[in-house]
Amino acid sequence: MEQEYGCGILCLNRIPSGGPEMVWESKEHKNRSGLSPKGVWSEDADMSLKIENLEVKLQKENILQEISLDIADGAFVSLLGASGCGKSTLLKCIAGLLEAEKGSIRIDGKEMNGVPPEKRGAVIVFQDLRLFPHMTAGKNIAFPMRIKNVPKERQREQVRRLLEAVRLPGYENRKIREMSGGQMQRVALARALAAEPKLLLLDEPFSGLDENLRAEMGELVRKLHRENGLTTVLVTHDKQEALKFSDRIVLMSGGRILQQDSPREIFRHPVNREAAEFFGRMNYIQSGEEVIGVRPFDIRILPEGEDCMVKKISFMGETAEVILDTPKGEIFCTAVSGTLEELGLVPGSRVGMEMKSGSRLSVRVP
Amino acid sequence: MKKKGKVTDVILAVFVLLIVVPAVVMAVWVFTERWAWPALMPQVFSLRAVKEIFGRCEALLRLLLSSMVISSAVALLSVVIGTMTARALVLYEFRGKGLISFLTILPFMVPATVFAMGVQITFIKMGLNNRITGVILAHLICSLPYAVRLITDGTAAVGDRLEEQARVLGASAGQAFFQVTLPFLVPVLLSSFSMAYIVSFSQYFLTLLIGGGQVKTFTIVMVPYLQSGNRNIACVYSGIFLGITLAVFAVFEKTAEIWSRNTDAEFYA
Repeated sequence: MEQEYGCGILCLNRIPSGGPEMVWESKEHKNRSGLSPKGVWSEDADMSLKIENLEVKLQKENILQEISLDIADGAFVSLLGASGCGKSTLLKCIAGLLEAEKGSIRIDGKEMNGVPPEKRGAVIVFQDLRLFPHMTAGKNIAFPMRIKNVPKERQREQVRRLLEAVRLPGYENRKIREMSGGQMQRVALARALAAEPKLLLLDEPFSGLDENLRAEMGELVRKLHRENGLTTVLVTHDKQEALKFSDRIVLMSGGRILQQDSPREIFRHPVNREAAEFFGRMNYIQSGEEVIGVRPFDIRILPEGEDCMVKKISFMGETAEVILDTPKGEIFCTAVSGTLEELGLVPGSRVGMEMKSGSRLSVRVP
Repeated sequence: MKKKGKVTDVILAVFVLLIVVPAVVMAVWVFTERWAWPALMPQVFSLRAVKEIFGRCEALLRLLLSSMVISSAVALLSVVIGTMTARALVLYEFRGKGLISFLTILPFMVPATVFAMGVQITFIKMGLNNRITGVILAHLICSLPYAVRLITDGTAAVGDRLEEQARVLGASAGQAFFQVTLPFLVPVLLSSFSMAYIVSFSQYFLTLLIGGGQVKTFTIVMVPYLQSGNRNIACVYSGIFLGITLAVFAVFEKTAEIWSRNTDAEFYA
């Protein structure tokens, strides 16, 4: 656990010309970074999806640039980023609905350039679901099978099985307009599964739902993923969703990939400030020659000590946000409310501070 | 239609009169032998005109049939070409799109008499003159703008969202169009079909010029009666013409309505 949680500090070197650059210790980690120029995972035998140097233009505007991405067979990957960063465009490009300007997309080792969408085996569940309003739920789910001329009997059986899998048994003859948002989402999901895709692409399909339903649908997708071992790409702008469900997270910004890593790595070892702040607040502390980044919950308030002053406490129930005035500047930290009460802290109290840093990262001196 | 003011009533009444009065006068003329100025009512009624036209029932039917074949062909072609043009204009990006879009409505602005001469010369060179194919092609010039306009709006409203979904679910481009988009386009296609049909059905000058009198349509036979003094015969023809026009509209509008209800989906979903 020490190993996993320990390296809570991000180091940023100030470089006069440009933005801060990230340096870290872990070699293994560095290799897996999305920013490393060459694709490091060379053996693409078990790669379900391999994208190299993809570039997409829409109306002469660069939407995607230098996208390189490897997704292992059976993985659950999240494309994370603010809206407008090109996540959905990337998804459409993988599915073949958009043409790439440059670069290559391989699905199961096969080059997809020029292959029409229906032959790619990549199914998108869109944000707006796109259920066929002139068909019943059952007909919607049967659509991909009808196209493939699957025998009627088997279609019926599959529809029944899929409706059960998405927990809507007996909804075969329900009209689309008679269903709630959550139910429509499940039908869309079942329909995508009915196409037996090699690659399931989910384009923020839960964004229209309230929180409970959203969590439930997330669990359902995760469960279906576990059971079917289907390579799944989830586009989302919700960091919690991405951190919770994915094997890997691909963080995008401005049409480029900022970083791709496991949820824990990407949270603990962001490549730059932008990546760091996407997952939550960060304190930047000058430490000698370099700037280090510390997550608020990695800062412990100590009762002994005089050098810091509590400036503000924002009570949030279970936890509280505390702003400390320290010799190194203002520092933002979070603490469990109970602990604060035990310490009897009020604004103005003088306290000490400690940064949890199990394995401090070595720093290259500029 | 929530509040109807006096002004609206007056405007409405004027419009109704403008349509109803000529129609009534026309109906009266059908049974009139002599209606000289300044009498308010015809002096002599007779069934001569009606008998004369319906007496040659076979000729009339043949005339109607040839007119309907030509107009149906024009309407069908308009819908097919219109759909393809509309899809190109709405769903694809290409160079010169603005120009093409403008050209599709050009025949609205240029009267048929202006381009008819050019069309005639071209068709004579191509050997299309005096033939049904030539007349159908010439009619297309007039009916296509209506079809393209209507179907462009329809295509824009339906969009390609559902088609994209169908494609990724394994449908080919054709399957996606016919199974997913077409059911929503049917009402618009029916409207443009009836529109194109009527436009073609009422062409006189173009038919006369390109058909060279060899291709006989209803209008070709009717217009000379209108121009000569045979008002009662002209009015019988006009009555039949009006009846056919209304019937075509009624049939297609009704079909569109029933279709929309059965597909159980809002067109502008």
